[in-house]
Amino acid sequence: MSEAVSILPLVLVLLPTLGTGAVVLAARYGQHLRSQVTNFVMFATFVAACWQFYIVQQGTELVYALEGFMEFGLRWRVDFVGATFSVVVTLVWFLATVFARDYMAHEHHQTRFFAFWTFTLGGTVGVFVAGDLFSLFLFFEAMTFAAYVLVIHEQDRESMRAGNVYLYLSIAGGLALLGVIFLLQFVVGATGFEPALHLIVAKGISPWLILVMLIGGFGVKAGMLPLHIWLPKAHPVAPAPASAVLSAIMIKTGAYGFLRLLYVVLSVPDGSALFVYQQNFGYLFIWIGAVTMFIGAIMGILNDSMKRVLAYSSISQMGYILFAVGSGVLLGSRGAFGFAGAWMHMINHAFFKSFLFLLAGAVYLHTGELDLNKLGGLRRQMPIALGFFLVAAASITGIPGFNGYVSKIVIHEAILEAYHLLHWPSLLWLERIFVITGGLTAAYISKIWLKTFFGKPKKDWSEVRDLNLSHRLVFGIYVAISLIIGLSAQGAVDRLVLPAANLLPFDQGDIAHLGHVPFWGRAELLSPVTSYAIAVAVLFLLWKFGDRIKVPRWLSVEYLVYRQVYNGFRAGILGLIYLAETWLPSRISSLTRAWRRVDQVTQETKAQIKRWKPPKVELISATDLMKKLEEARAQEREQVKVWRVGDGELKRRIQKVRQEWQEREERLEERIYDVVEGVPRGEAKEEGKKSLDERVRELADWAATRKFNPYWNTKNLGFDAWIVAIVIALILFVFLVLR
Amino acid sequence: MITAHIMPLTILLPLVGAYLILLVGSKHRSFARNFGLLTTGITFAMVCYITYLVSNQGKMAYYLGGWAPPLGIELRADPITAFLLLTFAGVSFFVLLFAYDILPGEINGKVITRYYALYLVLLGSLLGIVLSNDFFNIYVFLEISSIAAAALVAVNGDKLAMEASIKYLVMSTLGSGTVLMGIAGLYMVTGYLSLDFLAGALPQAYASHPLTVLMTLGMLTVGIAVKAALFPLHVWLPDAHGSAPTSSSAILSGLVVKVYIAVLLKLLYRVFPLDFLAALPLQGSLLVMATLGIFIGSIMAIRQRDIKKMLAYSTVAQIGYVFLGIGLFSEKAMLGAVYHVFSHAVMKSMLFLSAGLLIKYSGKRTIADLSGLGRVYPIPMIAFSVGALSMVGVPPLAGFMSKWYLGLGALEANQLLFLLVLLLSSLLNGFYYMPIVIGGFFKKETVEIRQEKIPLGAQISLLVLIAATFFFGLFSNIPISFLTPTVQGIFSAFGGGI
Amino acid sequence: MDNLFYAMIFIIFLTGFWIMLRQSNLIKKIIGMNIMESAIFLFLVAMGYVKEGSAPIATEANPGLAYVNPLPSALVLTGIVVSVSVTAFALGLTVRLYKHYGTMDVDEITRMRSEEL
Repeated sequence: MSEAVSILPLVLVLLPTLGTGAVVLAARYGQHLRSQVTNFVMFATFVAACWQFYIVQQGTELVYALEGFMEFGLRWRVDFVGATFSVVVTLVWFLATVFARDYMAHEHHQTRFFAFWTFTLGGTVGVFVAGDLFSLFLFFEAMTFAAYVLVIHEQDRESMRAGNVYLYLSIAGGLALLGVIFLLQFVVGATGFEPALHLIVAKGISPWLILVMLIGGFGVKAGMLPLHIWLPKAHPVAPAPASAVLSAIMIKTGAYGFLRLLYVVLSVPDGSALFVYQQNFGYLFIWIGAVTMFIGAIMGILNDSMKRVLAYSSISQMGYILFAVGSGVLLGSRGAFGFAGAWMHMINHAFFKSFLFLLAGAVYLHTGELDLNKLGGLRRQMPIALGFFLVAAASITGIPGFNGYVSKIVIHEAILEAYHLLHWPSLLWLERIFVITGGLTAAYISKIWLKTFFGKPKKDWSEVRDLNLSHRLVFGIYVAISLIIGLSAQGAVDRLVLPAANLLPFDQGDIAHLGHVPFWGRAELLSPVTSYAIAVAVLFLLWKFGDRIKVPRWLSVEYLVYRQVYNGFRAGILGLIYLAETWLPSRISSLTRAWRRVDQVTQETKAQIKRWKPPKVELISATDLMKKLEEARAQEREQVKVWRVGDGELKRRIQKVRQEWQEREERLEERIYDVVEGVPRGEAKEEGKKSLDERVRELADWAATRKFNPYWNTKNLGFDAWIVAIVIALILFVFLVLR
Repeated sequence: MITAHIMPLTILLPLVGAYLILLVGSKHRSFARNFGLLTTGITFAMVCYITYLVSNQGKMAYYLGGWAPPLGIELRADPITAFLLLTFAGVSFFVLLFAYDILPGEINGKVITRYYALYLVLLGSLLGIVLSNDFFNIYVFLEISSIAAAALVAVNGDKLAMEASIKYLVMSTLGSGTVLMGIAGLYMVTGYLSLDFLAGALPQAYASHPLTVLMTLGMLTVGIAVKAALFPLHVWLPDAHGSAPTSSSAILSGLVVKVYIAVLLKLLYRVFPLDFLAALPLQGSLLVMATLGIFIGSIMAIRQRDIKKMLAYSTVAQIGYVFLGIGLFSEKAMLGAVYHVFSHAVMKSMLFLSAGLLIKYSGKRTIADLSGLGRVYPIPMIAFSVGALSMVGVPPLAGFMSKWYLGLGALEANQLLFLLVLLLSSLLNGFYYMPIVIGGFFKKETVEIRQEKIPLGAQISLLVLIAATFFFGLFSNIPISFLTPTVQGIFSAFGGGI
Repeated sequence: MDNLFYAMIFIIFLTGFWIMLRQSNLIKKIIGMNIMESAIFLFLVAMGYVKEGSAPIATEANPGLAYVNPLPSALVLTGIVVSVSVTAFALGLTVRLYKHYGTMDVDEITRMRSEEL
């Protein structure tokens, strides 16, 4: 494999990036020019990608580096995988752009949309031509942040919320990826795509740590369970062209990352002692893939919004890809089939999923409706759309002759191969999950087109028109691609998969075997029958019991995983804050504050008692006074309730005050009884009432301060107690701990 | 002549300028603004010249009055010092440029002259601290800086600011009292105050008075930690930085806190031998406190409604990063710490300045009320966003580079845990910064926004800070290669590999 | 005997701390601050003291005599200046706060603040 320095990959990234500026500029001179410029930029990028593919496909790797960019240099390296997928990316993007022109015509903020739309392409295509993990990360982040604007385009409550989930999960993912980069940079000294597992182990860093970070990094984008939660929120709220590229292309960056990292960076030769790591990684990925595809499909069946079903379908299809990635990694050098399946399905899914999303967009454009329960009976008004939809459905469910069939067969072969080589019974179960999921896929897709185009119309569709010319052209291209790949099955594998598989040290026998996949065998041709049989059963059950199926909230991944993690985290942090900001300082400052207050109250009370002279007035009846006292006590009890907010210190204090009070009361009563006669009682009553009232008010004040400011806080000037205590503690620490 | 005396002149210039401003400015009010800006600008130019000299000569020393240490006072500039000087002078120049038209609207017209004088005194003391190679000199400048800083908080005379100011003053007096005690202790056991001589005499002193030396180290560290707002000694910071005028907050959060870190760097890396430090639990406690500070600061920032309070708490968290870098005792981590001092100074002053503008135009301080401002005032909001993204550590901004070095340093020091701390806390940074950015650009206004023209000086200074954030992210190799030899020297001198 | 001196200084230092801790009156806090700083100055002076040393003025009459280390005293002078200015500033702030709140009691001010909020 020869290398050539070429500016092409740079151009491929720069065209859309700088094109953003051109789009914004052109927008000043009208919508028409803007869409022309956008189309032109997209087309130029596509041409550049094709040119690059043409060169690379002859056996050269294109490299380019901008040294001195952020110390590490920005590196491009385009091999067959990157070049092929660049073509796919730019083609899908171009088609979606053409589609978007009509779709976006009635939307707000069009210029912003198209600017970020173009910029996102720059980031995305950059991911596939990046030469090392760091450059990949840069493009990845650019794509993530630019795509955020596409997600929240509607700017309503729902999309903002979806955007938040997307953004924060993506930032978390980006940081996890950054963790991988840190470790690689530390271990290898560079972040290129070279085998590094042995070095990692030699440095004493657990490869599992890297794997977990990797899953965090790429798994978020790839919609891997349970990191997928942003996907069914974000993809449906974005405008249709955006959801198409998000679902078809952007999630592939995750898969692509796994492909590079798992097959190259975290790989070892078969015989190595570290191979067990690779095998475990692979096995883990098969399971993750199986769970993802199964749950995704189930959720797809249970949802009723067209775009949401498709979003779950994306998750499910990503499950297929991860499944294939895993089965390839599991087998090491014998894993050519797994790799081939993953790679082929990445390409195929990119096409048919964008096809489906654009179709959903077209339906929405003409009917203004995406809810499957409100659509229906559109076959009369939109027969052409129905036709396209059936083609797309045939692709995704793997009907022979359409492109989905090719990759599904290869993936199926991969898992069977894994079983034949390893004889792990669990692999056979995984194969069954795969087959069942195929059925579920057929079920949810059939549900969409049945509910949209057949059945009774729920609304008046007489105004609805069929697809316009440009959309027909776009969809026509999709159909052509689907049929070309599907019909030439083995030819597609030979041209697209074998050169890619040859980049990796796979067993030559397997690669040769890959040249003769039994696409037209009897069992393979009959596989859709199984799928559709399952689909019919599922749809029947859904029709019969669908109304009764309510997924309880506590079963959602959000609830089961994130809510719990969040709650735990929140509880921990709040506890920490409580300890640091409230509990400890309150302990310390209440020492001073409370005792100061106690001093004061005691002194005042003493003074009052001293000041108190035997009343010269008529004495009130003891019962009256007792009643008064009862009232005061009741009031006090009320206060005590308020003070519960406070701490033990306060309680002790209250106890003390109460005790005093009791004494005072007793003394008061004694005195009252002492001067039974000959004294004007009214005054005594007044006096007693007054002092009691005062006390009650005082305590109420005190309680009020406790209530409003029950704790020390940073607004409080009494901060010094805390600080001094710490300073002393630290000095003592130096004293005591060291000696 | 100027070349020979450039270092003392750089310190003197702002101090003398402050006097002149007080003398003349009380009658001619615009004099203060123009002359203040001019003085800061010249200081900046002189610092640039010092940096140039240092990059040529490696090190510069100046004996005040011609008395060589240990008798005399020495000023010293090495690459790290020069880098910090450049940060301080540059950021304070652009903050002042920003304040040129903004400040009169923000504070009482009568105190503007005083404000400028205090600002220059503060700048002079900051430069003095960085340049001094003598502990007592450092102490004097420390005190000048803390009085000036507290006065800058209280200058407007409103209640909250004064409360915050007195809190700040008491705290920093406590801190500097402790520092002075530590310095006295050092002097007692060694008989020197000059850093170089101290470093030479300490091993012997430790052999004879281990307890005193340890106590001294503890007191100095604690005292500096109080002033630099290391968790849990940070309680004064949010109030002080949150209630000061915009330009004060910017310079307080961006620079003043950092200068104490410069002192700590001198203390830990120039005075105490590294192998000696490594044997103490100092590293552990610094790291734990830094980590707690990062997390608690971030969480508290998330809980704030007031944007300036939020930024202030974010400073607490970011100080944690710097202490993390210092406490890791590894080459890359120290580079990261020094670089973070710089990048945080730029980012945080930019954030405070743009937040000040946003507050000015919306009339509200709550985060929720800043929605939609980005469409009306793009420059401040973009500045805020760039600062925010840089804080989160998005490449290719300056904040990413400091985190990069901190992370590599953590790995180098074999402390994988702190890499995770770094990553997790970056996510927390995202949690409190991103809502403002999102709200600013993509949400509807909640309050009536005043339509005004942003003054030219403010625009320029924000644009320069944005450019700096990008430049020092993209071309970080320039400062890094400038700093690396010194840092390597520090570590190789003590056998490296701690 | 020397240690007794240091112990006394430590006690004075702690007294200052304690006053800052215990008193809610701002003036008293500032007084505490000053006491604390005085302790540090005493410490410095005590450090420079040489038993039976004379004033550090080298004349021809007493060239070889033991004399008191002059440097700490110089440091103390500087320190006193610093502490005076800090005190002045703190007092100024206290006066202003008193104008606003009518009290110098920290607890009271805090209470008023919490009522305001």
